Amino acid sequence: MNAKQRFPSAMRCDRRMAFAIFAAFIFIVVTPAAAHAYVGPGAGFAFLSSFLSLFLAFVYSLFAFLTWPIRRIYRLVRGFKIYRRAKVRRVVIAGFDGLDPDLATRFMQEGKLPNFARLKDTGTFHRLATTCPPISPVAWSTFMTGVNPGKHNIYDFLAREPGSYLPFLSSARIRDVKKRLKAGRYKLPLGKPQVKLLRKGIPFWHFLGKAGIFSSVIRVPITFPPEKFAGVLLSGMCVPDLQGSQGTFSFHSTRDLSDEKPEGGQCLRFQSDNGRFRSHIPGPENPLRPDEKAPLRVDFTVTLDSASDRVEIEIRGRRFQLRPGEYSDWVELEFEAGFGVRARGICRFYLKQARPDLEIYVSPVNIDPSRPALPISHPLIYSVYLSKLLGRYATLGLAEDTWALNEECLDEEAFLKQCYLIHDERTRMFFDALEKTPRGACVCVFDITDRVQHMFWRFIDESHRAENQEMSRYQGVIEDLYRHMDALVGRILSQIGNGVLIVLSDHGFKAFSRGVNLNTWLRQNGYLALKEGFEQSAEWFAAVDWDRTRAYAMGLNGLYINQKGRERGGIIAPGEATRSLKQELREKLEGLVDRETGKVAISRVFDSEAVFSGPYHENAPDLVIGYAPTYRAGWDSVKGKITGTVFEDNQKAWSGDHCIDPRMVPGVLFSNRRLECDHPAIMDVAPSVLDWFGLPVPPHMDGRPWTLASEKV
Amino acid sequence: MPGHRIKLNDELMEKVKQCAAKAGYSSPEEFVIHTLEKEVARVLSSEAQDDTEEEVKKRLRGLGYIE
Amino acid sequence: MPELSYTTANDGSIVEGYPHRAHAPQRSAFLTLISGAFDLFFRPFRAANPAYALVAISFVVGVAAMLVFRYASNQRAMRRIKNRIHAHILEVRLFPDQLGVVSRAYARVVRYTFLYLVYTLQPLLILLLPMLIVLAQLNLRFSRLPLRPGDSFILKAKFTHPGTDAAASLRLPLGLALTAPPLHIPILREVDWRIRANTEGSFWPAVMVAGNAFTKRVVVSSDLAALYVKRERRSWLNWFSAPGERTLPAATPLRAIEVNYARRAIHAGPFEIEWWVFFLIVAFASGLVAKVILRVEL
Repeated sequence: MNAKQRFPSAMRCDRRMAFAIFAAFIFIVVTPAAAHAYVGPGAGFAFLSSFLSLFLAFVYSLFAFLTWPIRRIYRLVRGFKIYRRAKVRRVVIAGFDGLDPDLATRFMQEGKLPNFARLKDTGTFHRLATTCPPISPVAWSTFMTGVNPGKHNIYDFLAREPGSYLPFLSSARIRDVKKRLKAGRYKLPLGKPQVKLLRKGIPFWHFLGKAGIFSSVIRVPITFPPEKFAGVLLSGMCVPDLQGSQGTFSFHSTRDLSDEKPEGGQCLRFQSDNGRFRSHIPGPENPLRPDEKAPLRVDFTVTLDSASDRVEIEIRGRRFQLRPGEYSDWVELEFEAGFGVRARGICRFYLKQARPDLEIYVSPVNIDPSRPALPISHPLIYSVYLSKLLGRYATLGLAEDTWALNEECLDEEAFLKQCYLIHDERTRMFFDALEKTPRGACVCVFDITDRVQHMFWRFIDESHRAENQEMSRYQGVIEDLYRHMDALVGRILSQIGNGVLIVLSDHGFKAFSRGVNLNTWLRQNGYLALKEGFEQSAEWFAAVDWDRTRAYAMGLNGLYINQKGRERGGIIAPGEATRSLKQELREKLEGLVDRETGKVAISRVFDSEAVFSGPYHENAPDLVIGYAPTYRAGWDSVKGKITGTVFEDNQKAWSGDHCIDPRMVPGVLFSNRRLECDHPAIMDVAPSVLDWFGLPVPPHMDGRPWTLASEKV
Repeated sequence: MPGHRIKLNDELMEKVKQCAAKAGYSSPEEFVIHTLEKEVARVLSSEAQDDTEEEVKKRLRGLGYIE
Repeated sequence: MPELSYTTANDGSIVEGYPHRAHAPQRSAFLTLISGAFDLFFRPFRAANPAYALVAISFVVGVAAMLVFRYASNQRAMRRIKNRIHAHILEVRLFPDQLGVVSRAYARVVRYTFLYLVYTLQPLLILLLPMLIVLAQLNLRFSRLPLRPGDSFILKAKFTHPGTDAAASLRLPLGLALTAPPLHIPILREVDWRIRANTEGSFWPAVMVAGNAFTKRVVVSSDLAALYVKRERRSWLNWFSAPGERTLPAATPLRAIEVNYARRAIHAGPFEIEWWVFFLIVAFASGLVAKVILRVEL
């Protein structure tokens, strides 16, 4: 990127003016010698500040310069050895989460994806076998480690605690500070919260780093908290927001919204005050007063322009204007906890409408990458570097706010805008990483393909029963998305030189029209019992009688046996009893028919013993449910709620899904090189990259390397 | 990242390596940590969930796939 | 040479007379106003330790300078450039083994630092003149100590041509008294009079040359006051440095009349420091506080 691209034209004008002033200043300062006598504090500040930067740069540069030859020679010798065995100098992997091979093929045939077609014709295009279950955290963990889930321990977004039957996020666990010092009403933490990565296995970039091969890794899921290795990494999916959740937006309105409790967010009513409207953004709990229930907050006021629909928002002394349908830039927030302790975050405002009711959506408060409250990159300064270079950016794992669209706090247009804003940030990061990685591996995952397909599939799927009045308006959204990704591929190809490009997705997509409440089915068939007097159960098995329950379902594809010695209230003995129960359930569930539609809802049930192998298979669900296309786990069943109906329509905007039979939703594999591979699988990527760089494939890896042909596109 | 080191004698280390490879661990360290974590959990029951249901719900809030 | 005369006032002091006022140099109305404003500002501190007055003015100047930076500079652009500089410094740390990346990062650090300096010039230029005026005013008040009753001082008259000093004499108003015969230093074309101040007040001793009187203000006081060390011919520099005193007419045989007020040191706790050092420290500190509060990019 050159300087002209970086600065808008207004700034260039300013720069010309500034040069003129500079010239005038030089003239004034140089001509009358006595003027040197006075150097005021203003000048001092400017010079001190800029020279401090220069001085630091100089000191570091000098150090780097003096030690550079030694390091260079060492690296050269080492690099020479490494790259002597390597078949490639650079491997670039662009992960398009959820890019569907059927849609890609169709669009290629229709001539809409010229760059993908180019890769297919002169390089490689295959369907890429995904993981069982075909869920992003599972698939991307397998992608980076080259092992089946039994060795990396990620089976779903959720894992369950057998001691309490409660779920937890499978990828990372954040534990609050244990020791605190009491000081009046405050409890000062002694230490930092512990963040533990629960994913096991070793990502392939660690092996590359050990061999002296540099990697840049951007937003690959399940990389939070970041691990140390020889390269740079920005964490992706499952990075929490400042509240510690996976994304909690706030919606502010002049309407009374006290009855509305949107999923994934919070509704707040504006307080009117002399033509101004006041509200607040809820933040994290006070880290110094953990017993206090009210979270920290930052207040803001909104003033309506009487002549137009424009509003002015004032927050922490900063003012900006918004028109309906407009997003603000990232706004810095500081939640004051006391004793000068602050939690820093960033959010975007979106003006949904100014009249008749004022309605403003505020995105989840993301961790500020320039001053991260939790580590979100390796090294820690990498997130800071990116924010200084490219401006602030979304750090939340699932940054595209699908719940805000589901709950109609955002409309389709606004959601799309949000997705593309985040995508643009990601694209800039990726191309910077590409520039900074002339040798080695550059890996980036783009999430937009997954989120947009989840929310817009209803517009290309006639079977979806959600209200589809704006069908024609959004029918082309997914096609536009694929074209957009195609253009991105074209741009990468133009910059990649001799490198190997791999474009892949972790799974494909299918419609999600009907939900299967598996827990309700288990209850109706005598496998799950409720406590006396209950006909239904609230979430997380609140009314389940564990002493009479043999199996339960949790998460998107998992079914667990209530096993003695493992679950707290387990009643089924391990071994033969468990095996025969699993077999019984498989027989009953495979081919389960939805009587209302006459369709098979579950095409296959996978026994964990057959599909997972490795030291962590004991944490796996006992059975993995492979739903048939158009079906998925019902919204209630996922979170352990037992209702009256097994099958139900999915009425939500979330209308596309992939948490089904993995054979139905393979991903894609494109490359600018011909890859010799039969039935490629996502677990082959890690061993392939190691092999191409001339490193031995570790024996614990389950994937097999693809052979790289010499031609390139 | 482990912050402490424990010394093993060569013979045990060799067996650790063999076990790790056989069980499919990605490294001997991972094997040792996992084995110790399981044993510690069994003895101390410290791995038991100490989060309240409210905390659990909060942490999962916003995960698009679940309501 | 303009014809100058003098009269003796009732109290015996000599008043310089300008029969041709039109030719006499005038004090700038602007500077009179400024000096008045400063007098007003320092009035509450007149009898106090001058350090308090200096703290007050330094604080005001520091905050004002920040305000100027806040509103007169392109803060958005400066923030972006500063971020760029930081980013490229971090680049060197993050990608130390990539020769191309590191070289480009160095070049960009230098380039953006220069650009940053360019952007600071606009507020600097705006600050330049006010800062010169402020510093001149402070220099008048804080660099020298006024004379106290009983103090002796030297009044120097400096001449343009050799020999003119021989005919020079001095007329003193009541309150001042000569304590020694005049000292003629022909090589320097200078006459020095040693004088004692007897009472407090502003006095106008006159140097008599060829029947003309040239006065010089002498302040004997225990309060904070603007002190003019030198009265000289008109130049652009003394527009700043001595805005409160008339310049000498251009065609006089006198170059300058000087009073050797003692230098003043500011007492700040156990330290004795020059006023400008004290000023810079306090102004910097208050400016930095204002920078944080006003969120000024600098």
